[in-house]
Amino acid sequence: MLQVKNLSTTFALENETVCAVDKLSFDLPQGKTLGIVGESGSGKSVSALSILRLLPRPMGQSTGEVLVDGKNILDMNPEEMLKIRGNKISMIFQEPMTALNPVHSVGKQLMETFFLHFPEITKADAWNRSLEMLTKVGIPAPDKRMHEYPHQLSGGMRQRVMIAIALSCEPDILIADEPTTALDVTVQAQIIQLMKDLQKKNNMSIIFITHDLGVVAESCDEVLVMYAGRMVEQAPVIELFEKPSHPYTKALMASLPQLSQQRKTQLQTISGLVPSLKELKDGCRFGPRSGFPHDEESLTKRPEIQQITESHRIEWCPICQKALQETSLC
Amino acid sequence: MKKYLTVVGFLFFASILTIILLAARKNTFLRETRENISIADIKRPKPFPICDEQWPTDLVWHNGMDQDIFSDPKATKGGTWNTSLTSFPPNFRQVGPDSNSGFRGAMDDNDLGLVDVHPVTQKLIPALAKEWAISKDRTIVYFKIDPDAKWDDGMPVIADDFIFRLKAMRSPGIVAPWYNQYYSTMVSDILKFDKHKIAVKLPSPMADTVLKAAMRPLPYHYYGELREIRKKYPLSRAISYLKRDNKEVPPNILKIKDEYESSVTSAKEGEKTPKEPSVEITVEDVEANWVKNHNWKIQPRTGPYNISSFIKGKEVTFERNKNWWAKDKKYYKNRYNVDQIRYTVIRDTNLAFEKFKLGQLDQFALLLPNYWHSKAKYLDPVDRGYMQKLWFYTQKPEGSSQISFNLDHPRLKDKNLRLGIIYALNIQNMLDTVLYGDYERSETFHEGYGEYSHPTLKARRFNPQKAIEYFNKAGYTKIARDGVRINDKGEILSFKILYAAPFHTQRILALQNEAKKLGLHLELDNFDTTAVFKAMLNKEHEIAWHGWGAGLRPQYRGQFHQSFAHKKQNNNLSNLDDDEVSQMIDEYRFALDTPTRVELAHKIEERLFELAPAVPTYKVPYFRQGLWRWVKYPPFIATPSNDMIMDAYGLFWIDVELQKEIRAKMTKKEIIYDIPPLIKNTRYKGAP
Amino acid sequence: MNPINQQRWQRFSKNKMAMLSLKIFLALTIISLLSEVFFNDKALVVYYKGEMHFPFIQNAIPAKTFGLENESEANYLELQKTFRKKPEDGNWLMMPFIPYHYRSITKIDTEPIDLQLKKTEDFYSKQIKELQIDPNANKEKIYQLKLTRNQALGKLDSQKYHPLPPSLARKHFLGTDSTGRDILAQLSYGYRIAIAFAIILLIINYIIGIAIGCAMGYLGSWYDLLMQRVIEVLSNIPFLYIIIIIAAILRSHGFTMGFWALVGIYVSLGWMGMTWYMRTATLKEKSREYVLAARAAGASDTRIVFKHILPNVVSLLVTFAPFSISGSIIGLTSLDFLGYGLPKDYPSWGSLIKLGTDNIQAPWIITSIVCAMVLVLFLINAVGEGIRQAFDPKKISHFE
Repeated sequence: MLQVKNLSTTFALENETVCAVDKLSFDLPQGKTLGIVGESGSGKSVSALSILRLLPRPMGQSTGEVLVDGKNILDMNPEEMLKIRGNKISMIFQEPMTALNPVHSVGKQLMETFFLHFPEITKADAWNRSLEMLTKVGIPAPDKRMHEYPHQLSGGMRQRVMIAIALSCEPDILIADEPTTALDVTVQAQIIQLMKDLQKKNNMSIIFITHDLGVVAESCDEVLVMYAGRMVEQAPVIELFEKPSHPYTKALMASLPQLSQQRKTQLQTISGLVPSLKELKDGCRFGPRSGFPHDEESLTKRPEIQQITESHRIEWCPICQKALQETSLC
Repeated sequence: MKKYLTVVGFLFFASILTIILLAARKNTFLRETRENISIADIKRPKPFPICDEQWPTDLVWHNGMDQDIFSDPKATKGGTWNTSLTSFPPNFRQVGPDSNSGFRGAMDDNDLGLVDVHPVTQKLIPALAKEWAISKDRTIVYFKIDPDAKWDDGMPVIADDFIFRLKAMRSPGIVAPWYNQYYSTMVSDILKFDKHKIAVKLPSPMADTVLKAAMRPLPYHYYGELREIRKKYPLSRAISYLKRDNKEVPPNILKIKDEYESSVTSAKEGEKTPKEPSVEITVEDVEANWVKNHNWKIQPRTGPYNISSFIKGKEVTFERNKNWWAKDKKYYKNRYNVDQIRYTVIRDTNLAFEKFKLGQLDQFALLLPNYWHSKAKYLDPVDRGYMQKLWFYTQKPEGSSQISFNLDHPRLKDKNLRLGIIYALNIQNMLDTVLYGDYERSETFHEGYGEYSHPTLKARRFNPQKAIEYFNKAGYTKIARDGVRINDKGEILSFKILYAAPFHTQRILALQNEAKKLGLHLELDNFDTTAVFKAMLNKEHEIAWHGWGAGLRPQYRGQFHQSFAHKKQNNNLSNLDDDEVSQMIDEYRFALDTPTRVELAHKIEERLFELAPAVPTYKVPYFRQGLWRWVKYPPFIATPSNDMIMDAYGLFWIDVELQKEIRAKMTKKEIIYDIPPLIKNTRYKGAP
Repeated sequence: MNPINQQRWQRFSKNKMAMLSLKIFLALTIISLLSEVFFNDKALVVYYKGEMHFPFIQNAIPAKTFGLENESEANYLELQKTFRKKPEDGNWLMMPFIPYHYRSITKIDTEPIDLQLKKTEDFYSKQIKELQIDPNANKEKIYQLKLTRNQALGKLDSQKYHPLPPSLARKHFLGTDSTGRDILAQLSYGYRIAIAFAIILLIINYIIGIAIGCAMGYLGSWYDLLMQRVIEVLSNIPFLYIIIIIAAILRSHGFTMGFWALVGIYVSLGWMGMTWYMRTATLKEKSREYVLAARAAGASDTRIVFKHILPNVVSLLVTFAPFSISGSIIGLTSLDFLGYGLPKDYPSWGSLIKLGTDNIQAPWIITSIVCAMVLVLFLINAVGEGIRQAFDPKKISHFE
């Protein structure tokens, strides 16, 4: 369905070029959900934007291949791109308040997508289909909402509207960039459930970007862990939660609060900060924070990707691997 | 915050204080005064050689002493005459770039010529020359320079000063092509016989011979000796200059000339004629950078006043020469009475009028009807007897105001149309309503020139029937939208009338309103004054509303000669191209005796009336002004040639005692009785 | 209506001053748009021999039609007089409220004034003669009498010439100017031209300013840099000189400076103002997430600029509009005042100010135009201030 091969995204800053996504590869089969997790700044959102070629111009540049139905998106001309966006691949954003245009009514914004992708559609048709979409995403009294403006809706409603807009052309792929982060927990669950339902109906694939492992566990089939622009581990969701292999994934898991924990114990954290993109080296990027001593070579030479099982990939530097094996032996 | 405000406030007040201080001291800082050089320090340049010719003995000498005096012996000296300028002169030079400003006249009035013209009888009277005589063939005029004549730095006026003027005016260093040309062609030479005897040679016999030869001197001792330079000129001009300077044409130039002429004759038809080559010749020139050096220098003058000090951009003061050489001469006695003349720059006329009302200016021209009839109708100083209003009819050549049709315009070529327009112009109505009925209708293009003006010709008057008749003849038979006439081709009877002065708008509006009733639309076209003049000289107008200044005799050539038609940058605004007129103008120009010239002038006027390329509008045969009571004038008020009471003739004087008295009364608002507040003098009204 | 706009309109209508100003402004504008109905020397309706004519909207009707001798257009004021002399014919006509067009010149009937002048002169001369014969009379008395006589004569004489002071009887409610045209009619027609000029200018300037400003902000990079320099150069050109030069060039090609030429010059040197604001606004808006969302939905660049960004900055445009209009009116007026504006026979406020300052002894001219000018500018600015407050209800405050 969607194949990403060696996707790299660079940003030309004033006097240097930084690499925000570094040779990312993954496959997304039809009807499946891929979760991309990572700390802030690990390149999740940038890779999503790179797939849709929405990077800020002219600084952002992507190389590699993004294949949709065998066609490389990155080679397409702008006109073809317009047909992909919203039609083949849709996207929903983190903050539904700002992602909706404050001066247009909900109905107008919904209808716009129809006008964009079906130029010959009549206004009445577009209206009816928009209404249908609103019903689909579970908005009560949709014909009333059609006339309302974003600021008159609640956060959950807005996100539903966003989803309605994104799904109005029945895309094959939906990229959800932290769609639940700005919502409170009960609404989160509703939205995730809604997305699951719609996925089943339309048989579409979803890329679910989040930093919330709980959400991932709930909604994804497969998980891709990113760190500093690189994939560090990819595995089916159950396997990952049961057998996290990479030290970063492990640290991530460990930082989750557990119900079994005693109250008032300090939460485990990953020491240090995500390195700035400017000071990245080519070698093991998690090395300095992993707690294992790394030599110069391991920090400068890019580690290889190892296929542990059929569906479990991991980018391991030898030192981390060795250290982990030692600790697991103990 | 407080600190910040204190600093800003302090800086603000400090800068304001500095500005005030600077402004207060500006007068003393910027006033420039004329240097005084004692006569012993003046370097005397090498005198010009005395000519070989003999001083003729059989001449009839004139001295012009038989005319009446025209000044008042009761005049007293003293006082300051305050007057205004609309802009400060760009320089004080007599010639050169930007020298022809409005202020030039004020300086030139103090440069006497060899002879002068009597303002009442128009006969010649002596000035720098004591006596003069004309040779039999009327090409040479002999002058005996008055031995008393002196420059105001004390040096005597001698023959060399006249020769120096001729040479200086011919030199390239003054950067004045018109003067170069004029002094090369209109005067052929000046002969020096001794210190006080000269003869001016004219290239051909001319009418008004003495006046044409009566030059003004230029102080040789002040400007210094001429130098020789090499300069490139076009071939023909170079040869004419060599001939003018009585020099032999060098063989290399002759060779170039031959080559050029043969190439011109051999050039085939249709081919471009070869460009005239330039050659280098030796000419006499004034000092290097003359124009730049003399921008603000004050040269010695022979007249009663000279600039004594000035503040650039603000003010110029003239001071009377107490030891003026002519102060006791017959025609100069009791004239030029005030001690100082102060010109202050006041750019706005309304402001100048307010200053006049406060007594800061001594006189103010009330020529414009709205000033005379409206603004200056009631003046408190007049009612209280401090001020007088004066209306004086003069008799001198009138500037000609007229409306010119551009005959190159495809539609205005049609004489019927022009006549229709002329008959549709209700000029009398304009004079009666907008101009309060006090300008007069001009009958011909040259009025006030005595016998030269046509005595019986009458301009075409407003006539609706005739206008419609001629419009119909010209094809404008139908009336279209808005009541404007239209012809079969669909052309609307509408023309742009171009004019320069914004205050003429209401005059033309009055014409427009009346013409509209006959189906003629006049579109008003007015813009920046200089741009308008340029557009007129480039013949970009359809109809031009304009006026020409007056000369000593009627001038027809510039305005009506065919050699200027269809060309840009000249005064033939109607592009009149008529053989008969041009021929008569040529005859008029070279005719010697007055009766022939007068007859020709009348014939030309008649022919112009018939052709109707332009129509004379109005004339103003008087001056009107307000003046303070302390300004005194002779019992006959003024001569018929006066521009105002205070002008170049200098017949007035200021009663200093009375000035003090009136100023004292002004503060107390005391009324002075028994003084006529308004004088209207019509002694010189109407034909002579 | 968008609820935000509804709220804005509510806020605006609560502002009493702005509301009242808007009403008066609209009323004035409508009157001036219908100037031909209110101020005209052509009759509204003429009933002649059983036929109705409507001269104020018809082409010129020759006077012959109404039984006058003249072939050119009828003078309706005189026609009215002839009709009134013969009421038995049943002809009638209705003149507008003020029977003067801005260009109609009122002729003064001088005969009765001349008669009165003569009477007054005789009256005083008789007295003066008597006093002169009387040896006991003092000089001062004669002088005073002469002065009073001159003043009385002068007062009468000034009625013979324009400008005439305001008078209800003559229907010159604000008097006449020095040519004899009605001031009120000129004010109305002049206002119409000024407001038309300002609005046309506003529209063209906005179109150009929005197009270029949005492009600058949205496209950025070299286009932005280039346009910034172009705008800086253009905005430093001295306006008056350019006007003089362009007029000279136009004339040499056979055109005169007219309304449209003036609009063209103003636009060519005035479109820059809006671009700066639009550029900044677009720069700010384009980094908002809804723009990204629109792009993700497949909207093209032009669509994003015009459908998404523009509606968000429209408040800026609306807030600036009234001030831009008053600015244009001042601009045109000052240009006319200096004599570089509209052709001289156009009705214009600038030339009225010039006339007023030149004829300061006739204070009604300058008073009328200054009052009109102040009123209109005040109205527009009050409306503008109301709009600004409605769009941006923040109170002025600063941090301690």
